Amino acid sequence: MLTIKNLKKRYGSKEILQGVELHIEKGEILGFVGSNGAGKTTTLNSITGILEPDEGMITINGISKLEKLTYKKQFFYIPDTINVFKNISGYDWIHFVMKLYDNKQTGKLNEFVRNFDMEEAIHNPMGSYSYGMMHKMSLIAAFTINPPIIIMDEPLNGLDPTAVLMFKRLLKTYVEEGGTVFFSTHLLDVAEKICSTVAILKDGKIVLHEDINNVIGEHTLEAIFMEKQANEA
Amino acid sequence: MKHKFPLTTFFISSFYSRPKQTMLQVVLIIAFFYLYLQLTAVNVAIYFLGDIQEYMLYNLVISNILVFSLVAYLSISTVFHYHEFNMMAPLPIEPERIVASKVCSSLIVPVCISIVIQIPTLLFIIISMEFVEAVKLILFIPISNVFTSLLLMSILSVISHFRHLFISNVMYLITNILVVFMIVVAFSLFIKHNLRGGFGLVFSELGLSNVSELKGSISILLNLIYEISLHLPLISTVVGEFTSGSLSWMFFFLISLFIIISSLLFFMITKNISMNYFKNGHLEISQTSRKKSRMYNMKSEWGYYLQRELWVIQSEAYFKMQIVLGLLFPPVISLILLITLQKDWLFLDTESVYFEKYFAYTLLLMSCMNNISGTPYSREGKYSYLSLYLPFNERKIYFSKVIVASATSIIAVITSFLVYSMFGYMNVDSFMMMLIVLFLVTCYNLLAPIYDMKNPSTEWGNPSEAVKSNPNVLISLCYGIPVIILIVLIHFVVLLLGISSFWSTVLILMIAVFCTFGLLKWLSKSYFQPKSA
Repeated sequence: MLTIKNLKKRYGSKEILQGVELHIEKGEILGFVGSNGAGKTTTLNSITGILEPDEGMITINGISKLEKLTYKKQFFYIPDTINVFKNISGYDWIHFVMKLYDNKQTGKLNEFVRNFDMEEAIHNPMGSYSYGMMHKMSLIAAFTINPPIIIMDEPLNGLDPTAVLMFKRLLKTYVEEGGTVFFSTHLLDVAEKICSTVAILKDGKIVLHEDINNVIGEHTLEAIFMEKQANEA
Repeated sequence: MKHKFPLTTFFISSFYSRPKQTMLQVVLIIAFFYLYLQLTAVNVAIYFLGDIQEYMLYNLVISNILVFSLVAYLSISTVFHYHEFNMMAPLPIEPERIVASKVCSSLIVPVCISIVIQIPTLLFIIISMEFVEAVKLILFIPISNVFTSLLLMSILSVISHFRHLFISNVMYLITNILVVFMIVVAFSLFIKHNLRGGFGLVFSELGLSNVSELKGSISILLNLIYEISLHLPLISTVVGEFTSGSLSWMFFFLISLFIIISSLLFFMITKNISMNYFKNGHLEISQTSRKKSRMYNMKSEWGYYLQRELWVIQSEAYFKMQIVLGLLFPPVISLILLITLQKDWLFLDTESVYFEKYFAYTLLLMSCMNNISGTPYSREGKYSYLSLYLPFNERKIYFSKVIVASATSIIAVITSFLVYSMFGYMNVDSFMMMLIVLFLVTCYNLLAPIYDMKNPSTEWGNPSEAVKSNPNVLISLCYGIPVIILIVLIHFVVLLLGISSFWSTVLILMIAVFCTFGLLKWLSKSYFQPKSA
């Protein structure tokens, strides 16, 4: 599904990514964890096209990043800070993005809007949305578009408890129907509960990529993470 | 680092942020030095062509015009807006202090620039051993510049005081610009009223056929301007005292008067804006974030891209104002130009074959200078990331920007020619000239966004940083203007070679059509092709 080979990115003299290697299979929910400054967002930005890496190759479903439009239609990205046109309604925006993805199935849109309790707000300009509402709107867009892979940066930020439960439920359905999820998070307990696999990034390198059940065993993900941080140091 | 006036320093750094790219920094420095050298060259010419009084007056006028233009160009979008509101409102600072700092910060840079350009003048005066004039220059020019700036700002602050009465940010911005424009028109009419045919007399004596005639003409013109200034009510006293060769009590009285009036104006501006700071600030922010834009039911793929462009423009009142200005500026200036021609205020021969060419190319220049195609990528700001991770076609994004800019220019050009035809000047040649302008402005719009696409300045807080304070504007001009200059030059050379007006226009029209389609083909077929699959 998603393959990253020898991904390198340098800012000035500092090498942020030092050859990231990662392969995600179809149906996998990968939790991408790491300390602040480990390179998580740089990796996500490199995958999604926001950044051009210095070296390396990224493919989704065998489609190279060089095939720009076809490649971008393979994923939907939800960044941590969502900047969309504040004067238009969430509903109009989702419709607009769906057209970009050649998706005409609007049937599920209303259902997702209801699920996330956005029936009223979805028709208001997005400038009036709170941080959490913006995330809900992006999740609705992602599940409606139903791309092969959903990439998210801190997806649970700002969500209320009901929305978190709904997110988990919809994520499960999405994956059962053949979708793949790649998300970065600081919340290790959440990663532990949601993910099927976990990858730990430290100083621009993947130091662990395993099935979550193999990793935690009798320990918590938090303990494993702290151990990895200490070992590599 | 500790600053004595942290708030003023904060506003200066946010109003006039230095571009991040080294290339842009270099371009800005070159542009500044170029302008400086040009002004100094003119300064030298005036110094040798006029006497010391005329020279002093020239410097007073030029520095005040410069400061007025800079304040009008830069301050409207800074002092009279509330981009800092969300950041400042929760802080324990009095609105008076915030406003006072904003006013000071918007004064400092224009006044400093005008002082810097006075350095060569001061050197000339000192070399000539005119020490009294040197003292006057040092004392009076900065004070008069501050006074001019504050006078302009005080008028605009009255509008700002009633900001909450405006239904939209765009209306407010346009009103500000119209008021500045009205001030310029009113001042021009004031001078015209006091001229009583003076210019007509001088224009009849002007000769430009050789260097000595040109020198003589400039001397006459300088002398006339000086004489006129001595006949203008109020201004005559100031000019008389400023240019006289002695330091009188009256001069110091005038300086004191200017300082007192400036202080009162400063106090008035601060009060006017700060009185409704929270009300207006909150209103501006909410008007921007809660006003809903409509989505058009676009059937074609190009429709989505144009829709996206529309959203980018609608995201900031400032961008909407730019479009409105782009539409209005050429026809309004054309109308003023044609009225002045009809009234015989400008001494141009409207029967000449060159007349319609001058009109058309002036219009072309206005449409290009006041164009939105120089910074369409910078304008996207924080939304630029959307086009990076969503499946947008970059070629279609580029062309949708060209279409929006060209549509604005085309409407403005056609409206201007309609005004032109209302004055009875339209004929087959003029119609072909209109087509030439339409094709050339499209050529310009095709080329101008290239630099901004490669080096967008998207990290802005205030939308004016994305547009008029953005050095990409200058560089984009360099991309688009050379083609236009070349074609215009060819046109005048062909005319000078004796080819008839009709056939020269046909030839240039063919070149313009060829250039437009050639550029279209190059951009759509070659420029955006992926380097490798």
